[in-house]
Amino acid sequence: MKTPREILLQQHQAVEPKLNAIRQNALAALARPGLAQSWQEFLFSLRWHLAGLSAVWMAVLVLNLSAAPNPAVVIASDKIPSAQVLMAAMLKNRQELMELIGTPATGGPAALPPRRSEIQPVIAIV
Amino acid sequence: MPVVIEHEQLPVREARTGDAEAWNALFKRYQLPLYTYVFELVHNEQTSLDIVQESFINAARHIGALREDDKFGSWLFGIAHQKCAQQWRRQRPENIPIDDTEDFPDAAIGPDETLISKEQEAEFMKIMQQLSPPHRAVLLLHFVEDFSIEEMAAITGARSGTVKSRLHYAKDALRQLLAGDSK
Repeated sequence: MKTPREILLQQHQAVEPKLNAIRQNALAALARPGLAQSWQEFLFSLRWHLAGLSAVWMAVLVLNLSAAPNPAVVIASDKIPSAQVLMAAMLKNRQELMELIGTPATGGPAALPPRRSEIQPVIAIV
Repeated sequence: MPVVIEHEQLPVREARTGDAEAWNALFKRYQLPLYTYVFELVHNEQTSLDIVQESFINAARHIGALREDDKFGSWLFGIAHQKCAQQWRRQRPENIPIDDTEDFPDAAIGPDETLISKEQEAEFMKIMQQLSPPHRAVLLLHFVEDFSIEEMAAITGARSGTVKSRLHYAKDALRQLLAGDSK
């Protein structure tokens, strides 16, 4: 009388030499892993570290994006001068223009510059 | 006489460090049972040898994925089982889907006390072939390595209830044969 295990293993006993050869092949394959496999194993061993670092960087990125002001607004508000500065620059420009054409400047802030078509062309001969 | 596979002290911890002697011992311990299991599922010598070799190499390369050292055997059989399942899908996909989820109490799967006479050996092998691959798989795992229901579930990727059901069915069919009820 035999157990099922004994019967099953006995059925395949004849293949044992081939299994021994396979075992040697497997051991030989393990002794010389390829370069790609070495890298794969190296990266696989670092998978938790890489996952952790990625998570930290993602968190930093999300926090950075949510905390920073809108850069477009910052640029616009920095570059546009105030209305007073604009008005002063326009008056100064007008004064210089009057001096050039020989008309005394009125200096009033309410006076608007004449339309372009009304200005007489002045040709200065130097 | 019950089949008792004594708790072995396998050099799994040494194998984790890449110790070739340890791997040699592990491969030697499992080569025939694993081949038997694979061959009885795929019925082709060359395919079975290929699967055993691939399973050994995969086991050695991915030993880091093994959580408990004492589960090495079931883990190795699980690798081989996946390769057998791939083979089934390529050959006969209709044999795969069996989902008999009827639950059986643990008491139904006690220690195996089956003993087979010399005259019954051929019949035993014949009925093994008549079982569907999923039923044959659990019966082989039970007979060859005496794995627990949980280990067999992990190996085959089935639920524990399904494994119990399959084992119960397969053992019942075998019992009928040995009792002389089989036609």
